[in-house]
Amino acid sequence: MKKNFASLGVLLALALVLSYVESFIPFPVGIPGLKLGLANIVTVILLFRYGKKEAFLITAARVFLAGFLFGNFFSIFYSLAGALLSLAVMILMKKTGKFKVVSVSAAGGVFHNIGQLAIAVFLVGTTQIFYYLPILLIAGLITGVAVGLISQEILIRTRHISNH
Amino acid sequence: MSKKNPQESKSEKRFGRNDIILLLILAIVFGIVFAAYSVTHQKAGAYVMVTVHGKEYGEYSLSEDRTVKIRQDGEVTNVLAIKDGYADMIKANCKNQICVHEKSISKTGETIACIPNSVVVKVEGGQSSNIDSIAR
Repeated sequence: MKKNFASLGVLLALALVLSYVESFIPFPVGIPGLKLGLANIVTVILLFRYGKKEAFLITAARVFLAGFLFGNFFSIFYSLAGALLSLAVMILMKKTGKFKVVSVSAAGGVFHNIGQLAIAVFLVGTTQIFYYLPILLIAGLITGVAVGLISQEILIRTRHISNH
Repeated sequence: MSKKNPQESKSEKRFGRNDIILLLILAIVFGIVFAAYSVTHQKAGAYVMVTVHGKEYGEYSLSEDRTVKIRQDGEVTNVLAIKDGYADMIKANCKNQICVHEKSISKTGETIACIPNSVVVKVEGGQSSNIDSIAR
C-alpha cells in the first residue's frame, strides 16, 4: 500500500520532536529565527521516499502543530513561507533528476531562509532586514548540506524496509 | 519482498558530478556575496561615549554637529568636534598630539584616545533592529 498513514504519523511526530528539541540548541550567530532545521530531515526523507504530496502534507502539518505547540501565530507564517518555498524548489530540483539528495536539500535550506526573509520584509515593512541576507544564504547552504547528508544516510540505510 | 520503487533508485550514490558543481558554485557565490557585504557594511555608530579616567563624561549623538570641550579640573584638556556623523579630536593640550592626528571616527567600536589626559572617545550604538524574531 503506497500511503502508509502509520508511517506518515510516525514521521510527523519525529519532525515535531526535532523541531522542539532544536529550539534548545542555541545557534552561534545571533540572528533571530536562525536554526538548524533538523525537522527538514523528515521533509527530505518524505520527498525522496514517498513523494511530493506526502512531503507537503506532513511538513505543513508539522509547521502548524509546532507553531501551536511551541511557537506563536507569527512564527507559523514565517515557518510556512520558508518551508513551502523550500519544498517547491526541492520538488523542482528532484524532478530534473540531475541532483542527489544533498544538493536538493542544500537548495532547500537556502530557499527556506530566503522565504523567511522575504516574509519578514513583507510583514515588517523595512528593507533593513536585507542586511541579514548574506549570512542567511550561507547558513542555509550549510544547514541544507548537513540535513541532506543525514537524510541521505537514513534513506540508504532504511532502503530495505518495505512497508511503504 | 518489496517491488522496486522508482523513487528509491536515487539513494544509491551519495554525490554525483552535478551535486559537486552546484555546491561549489553556491559556496563560492555566497562566499563572495558575504565577503563583499561585510566589507562594505560596517555599522555606523549612533553616538560617542566620552570617558575621562574611566568614568563616563558624556554621550553625544553623532547626528548633531557640535563641539565638545572636555574639561578636567576646570581646564579644557581636549576638544572633540562632531560633524557630519564623524567625531574628531581637534585640540588637545597633551604633548604628543597623537589623539589630534588620529583619523575621525564614525563606526561602532572605533575609538580615539588621549592617554596623557586619560580621555577615551568611543563610538557606540549601531543600527537598531525592529524585529524581535523572524521565526521559530
